[in-house]
Amino acid sequence: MKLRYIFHPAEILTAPFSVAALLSSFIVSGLAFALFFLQTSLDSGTDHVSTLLKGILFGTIGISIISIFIWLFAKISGSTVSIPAAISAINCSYGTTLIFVLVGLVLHFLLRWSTSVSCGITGVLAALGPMSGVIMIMTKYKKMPAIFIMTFAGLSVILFWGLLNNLI
Amino acid sequence: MEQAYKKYRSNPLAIVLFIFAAITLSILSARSISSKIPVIISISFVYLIIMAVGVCITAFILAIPNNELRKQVGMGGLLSLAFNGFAVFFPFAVIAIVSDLMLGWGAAQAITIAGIFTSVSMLSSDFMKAKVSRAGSILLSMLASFIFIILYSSCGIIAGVINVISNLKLNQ
Repeated sequence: MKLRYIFHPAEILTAPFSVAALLSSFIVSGLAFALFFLQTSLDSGTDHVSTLLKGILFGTIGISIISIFIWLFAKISGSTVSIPAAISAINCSYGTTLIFVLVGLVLHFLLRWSTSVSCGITGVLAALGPMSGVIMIMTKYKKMPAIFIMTFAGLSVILFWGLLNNLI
Repeated sequence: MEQAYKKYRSNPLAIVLFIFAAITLSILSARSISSKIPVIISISFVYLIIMAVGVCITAFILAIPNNELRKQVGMGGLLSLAFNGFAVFFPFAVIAIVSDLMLGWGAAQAITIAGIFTSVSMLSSDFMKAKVSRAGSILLSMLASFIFIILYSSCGIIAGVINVISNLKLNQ
């Protein structure tokens, strides 16, 4: 996988499909959510190992399920993108989250700040930026379907995170 | 571009989504500053004006290198295109409602800032369809986002300071 896919995940949709890109995208989103969930447990003082595992599962399986729904909604609005390409592009969108949570962890260990909301949630929201490019390509630049798919994508991640961390 | 512009202009739903999102984010941002209803209403009003001004500034900045577009659609058309583009605020408004009411975070300001970044970058891609160079468009969208966010954040900081001062006076 090319490193620039983390910053421009929409390019995955136009590049030839590769299994390596798909597998690497799982590492990106898995790591992003593992560290994001770890931040939550560091802030709240809950069991780090189980929270980390929840993060890995959510970042890989959970995000893939959300990606399949996104692909389905985009398909209804005329998308011709394949499921594996959609999954790898959406997983790679969380590369932005990974950068935010890494900064958050550094701040936590250096300054003892609680960073799960300030860096973690902000990172998840920042991922909507590159993801919007992916969704626009998938919906063939139809703005209204793209906006509703973005709402679904952002909301589902926030709600699942709240549910998995017993915040709801 | 004229064709694309006509498509956006004929979409009143986008304007409705933007207005809903702007009002929601303004109220939630104001709620994180004060809990008094008159203060929330007045700060929300200021936030709404700032959002409208921010969208106008964004439209003018993104249109700087594109004489062709300005001639084709005029100032009114540019603003219409920009307000349509900012319908991307909607997902952020929904997330802000859920995070505020269900999860109990006062993160509306952070969510709005993320929304501004995403909306401006998507709007710049609309302008890029009109053959604006990619590097130029990225630079201009960064500049527009920066100005919008400074405007928005300064309103929050000023309102917060005024709120603290008025609370201190009341306590005295």
